[in-house]
Amino acid sequence: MSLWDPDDRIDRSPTLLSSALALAAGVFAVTANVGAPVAALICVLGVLALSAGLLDGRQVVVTAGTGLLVLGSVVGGTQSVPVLATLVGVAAGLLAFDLGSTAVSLGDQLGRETDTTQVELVHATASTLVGGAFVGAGFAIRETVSGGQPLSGVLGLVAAVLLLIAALRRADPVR
Amino acid sequence: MVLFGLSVLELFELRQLPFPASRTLRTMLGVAAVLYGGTILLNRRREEPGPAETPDVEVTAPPEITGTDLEATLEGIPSVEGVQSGVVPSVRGELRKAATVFLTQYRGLDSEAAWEQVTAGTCTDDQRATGFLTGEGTSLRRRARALVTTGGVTVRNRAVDAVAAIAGVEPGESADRADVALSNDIDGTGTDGLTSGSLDGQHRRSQHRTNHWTGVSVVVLVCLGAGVILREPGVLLAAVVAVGYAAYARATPPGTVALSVTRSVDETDPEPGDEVEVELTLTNEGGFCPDLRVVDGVPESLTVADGSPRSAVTLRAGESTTLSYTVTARPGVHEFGPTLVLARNLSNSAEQEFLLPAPATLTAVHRPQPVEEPVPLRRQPTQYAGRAPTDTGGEGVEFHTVREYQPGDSMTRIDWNRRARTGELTTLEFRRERATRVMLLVDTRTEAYVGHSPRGRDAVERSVEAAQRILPALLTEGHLVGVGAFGPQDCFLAPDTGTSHSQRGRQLLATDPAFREGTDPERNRRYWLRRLRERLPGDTQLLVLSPLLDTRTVEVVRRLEAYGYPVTVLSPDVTTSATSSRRLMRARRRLMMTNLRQVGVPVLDWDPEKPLEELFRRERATQ
Repeated sequence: MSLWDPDDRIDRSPTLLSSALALAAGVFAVTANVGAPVAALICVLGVLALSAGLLDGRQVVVTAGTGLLVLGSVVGGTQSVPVLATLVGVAAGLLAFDLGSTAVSLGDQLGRETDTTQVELVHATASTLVGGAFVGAGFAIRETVSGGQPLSGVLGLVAAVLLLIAALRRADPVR
Repeated sequence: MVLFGLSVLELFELRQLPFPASRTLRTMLGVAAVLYGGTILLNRRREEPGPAETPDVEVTAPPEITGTDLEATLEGIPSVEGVQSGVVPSVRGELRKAATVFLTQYRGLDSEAAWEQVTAGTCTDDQRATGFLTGEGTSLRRRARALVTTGGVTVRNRAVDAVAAIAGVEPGESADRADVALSNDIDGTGTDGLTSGSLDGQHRRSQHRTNHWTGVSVVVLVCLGAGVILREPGVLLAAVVAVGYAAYARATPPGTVALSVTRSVDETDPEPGDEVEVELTLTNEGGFCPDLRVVDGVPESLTVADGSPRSAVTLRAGESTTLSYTVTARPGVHEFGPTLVLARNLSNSAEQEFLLPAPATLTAVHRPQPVEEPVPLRRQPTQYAGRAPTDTGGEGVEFHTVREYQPGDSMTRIDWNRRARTGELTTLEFRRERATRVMLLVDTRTEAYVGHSPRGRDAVERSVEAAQRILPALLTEGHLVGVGAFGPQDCFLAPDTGTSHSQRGRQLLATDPAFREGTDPERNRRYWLRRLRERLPGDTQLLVLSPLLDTRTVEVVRRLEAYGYPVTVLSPDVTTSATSSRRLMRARRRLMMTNLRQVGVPVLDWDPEKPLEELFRRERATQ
């Protein structure tokens, strides 16, 4: 609630365009997991939480909601959902998080009254392309090395990625 | 990296890695990944500050509302002799004291009788209020019941109301009700909810991560862990997508941003109340900037009427954007602050903060309407000819007295009729008309920066407005008028006359920093009165403009009166009757006025919603 006169204060709720796009991504994640009822249910909960977070502009709730979307997609991956659908679901969940957070931060810094369409569109396009590209990459890996990958190799990769992330978090170029 | 390469090799050429792929190793790695994800999730809050915050530049900081703090209001009520509020100050004790003071002042009781009434509970008819004042309502059971039935605080508020009612302050009418909801809302938060409107400091520059993508690492690790433990290729591959986003966040550099701003203001010298258009042009002199968030440095004291001083743009190299908005000019000098620009990279992972100075100043000076009624001044002579009637007989127009003839009296003033009738030689005395030296003193102490509503103007602004109208009126009446601050600020213009002096006074009232909040210098708080006295010429009367809310004002005015400066107080009423503690503040102000009137200082109680003329007319009628 605003402090006194609503006209007197800046409306710092999340911007509309990014919020709408984030919700669309959330719904997309739900449809990707239609094959597994439990996963779809978790995703629906995620969409509900996401919309609640976007309504009152709380980053924590947005994060939680999109976290549920990703979790739902992972659960879907353990069930009968095809690999591509899982990849799309996770990507859509991350995209929903990115767009939702952008809506919250833009609203927080500039307010809903300001025209932010251009910036939002540029950002949403870039993020969607990145997501699409890596879904493609994941699927390509699946196609090329389908069946009978040596487990030790996979484990080595996992260990390598773990070390990579830890190293990246130590040596942050921006810091 | 070596491990990475080996693993890729292992995918195609089996049995390269030195360790076997056992079930335990798989589980251990998976659990490690999930645990690491968990620690990142838990630690993200403790990382560096996230995105920058932007101030509310469009709105001005509201004045503090009078009497919002009950304890402070109670503390400011002077005590009477022989009354102690108790060893430990408490609301009840202070309230008892206040009730005693009001009873002695307005019901003519001596302090002992008043104290008796308060402690015996006979000073008001309200049972609950009496209960609170006498302390009978404090038994545990009663208190619990009060909490259940009335919400606890209401009993105290009733007591406060009852005490204020002794001073004649009654709860407001229904018109005040809307105000209650509004102001209660503010009670809790005060002005804390506002970020300061000013963007001070130099060309500040900072670069930091936004923590926008922290969550992605967690997703990568959870997908990896779950995928490995559960042996699900889909889940494991989902990590690739997340790694992709993480790489995207890392790979997009913060970028080197080079920006320049120019601001144009269509009128730098407007009339107060005019709308002034401001245009800000931002040019990108560096490379592509996908996300620029701009907040212009609108002066804290100005309100944006139309348009928005905020914008979000994408600028290619060499491109520029213009944002325009209008501000409503308020009297005074307003300086534009630097423009705040937040530049984010494409992935939103890093944010750079810039403050780009683009100096511009707005100066709005009133051309005030002089008050049309004569200003009610104290009668007092000086040696300068003028038009203020004095209490001394002599040459003039209005009849004063008749006295015995003295050698040297002018022939024209001998009462010839009486001479013809009785043969006595008498001289007619007229009221002497003389100019008066007047100092207009505006209360600029921190205590005076209070208003009766968050959107209204504070007492200092009201006082300055009144002074602006009184100054030319007094000058045309032929008085010598000066202007100064009734407070520790260094602002003093000695009484004088003439057009250029009038100009100077007007300018001083409009632009001097003394009349702006927060300029109250710490070091002079104790000595300003002495310095003011040193500067005041003798034979000067003072017109003090003050909201009259604290004992210090009363004390200083009484001292000035004692030093021989006749004082008149013009007091804009900025109290309200919205809540009980505010009603108590109103009662306190009433007490201050009574205290001053008792020592012979005229107090003009001005309702700022009504014209000064009406007040002056009424004052003259009662004199």
